[in-house]
Amino acid sequence: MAFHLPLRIELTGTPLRYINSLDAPTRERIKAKLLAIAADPLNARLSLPLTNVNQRRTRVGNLRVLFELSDTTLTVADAGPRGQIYRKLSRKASK
Amino acid sequence: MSASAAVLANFGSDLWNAEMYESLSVASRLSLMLKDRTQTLYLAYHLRRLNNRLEGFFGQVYEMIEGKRPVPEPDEPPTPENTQDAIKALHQLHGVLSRILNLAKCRRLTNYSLLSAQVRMLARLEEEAGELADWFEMAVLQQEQTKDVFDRARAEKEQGDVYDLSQIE
Repeated sequence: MAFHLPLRIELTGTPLRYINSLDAPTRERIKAKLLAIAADPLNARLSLPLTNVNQRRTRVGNLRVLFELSDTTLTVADAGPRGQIYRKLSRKASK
Repeated sequence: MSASAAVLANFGSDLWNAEMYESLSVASRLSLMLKDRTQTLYLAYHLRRLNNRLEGFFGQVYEMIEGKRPVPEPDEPPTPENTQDAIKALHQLHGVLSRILNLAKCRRLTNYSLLSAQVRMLARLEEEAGELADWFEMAVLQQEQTKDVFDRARAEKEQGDVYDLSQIE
């Protein structure tokens, strides 16, 4: 895939609400990390691919951020403390 | 098969284990030295040795993930048990590195000019070890859950529940 760098960053509702609930320095760190990734999306020191090379994850402190790449966009799919992203999903599934 | 999938498929092979357990061995020896209050000069030597080994090991992994280095073909594909053992060993390596850093802080080695740069480097490598262990676990063992996260995000995007970076307050 040929990327048009830097990628445009967008967030779906769930991660945006979570990130906005965090303290300001953490929000800034997340922003800075996303901007760095948008400029160099395939750098393994910044983010690691999941089973699909365009679905990736990165870490900011204790938080894990999952995102998907397209040729123009980086879409943040979820953010949360390690291990909690999946717990949210399994809680929803059990309801 | 993508480079990262090939790395994942190789994880737990004898070659990976050799690298990882060797790093774990060097790290455990260093942890023991810190507990025994070994002379600083020896500590500096072994800390540097550990850092070089980990830097080389992780660097190779990153290059393979990025497709810059060919992924060696294992003689036989690792079993799920081997993969789980390898993930456990990587978590163990992360644990030993954390212990070394805590001991180094307790012994105030972070202020010691001979060691401080190496301790800082080890702190970075400790984070990378944790990140890699977490990544392998997520990519190998939690594929279904990962798929669910991206499916939900796609659904949100289709419903128009999507915002740009400036919406982060």
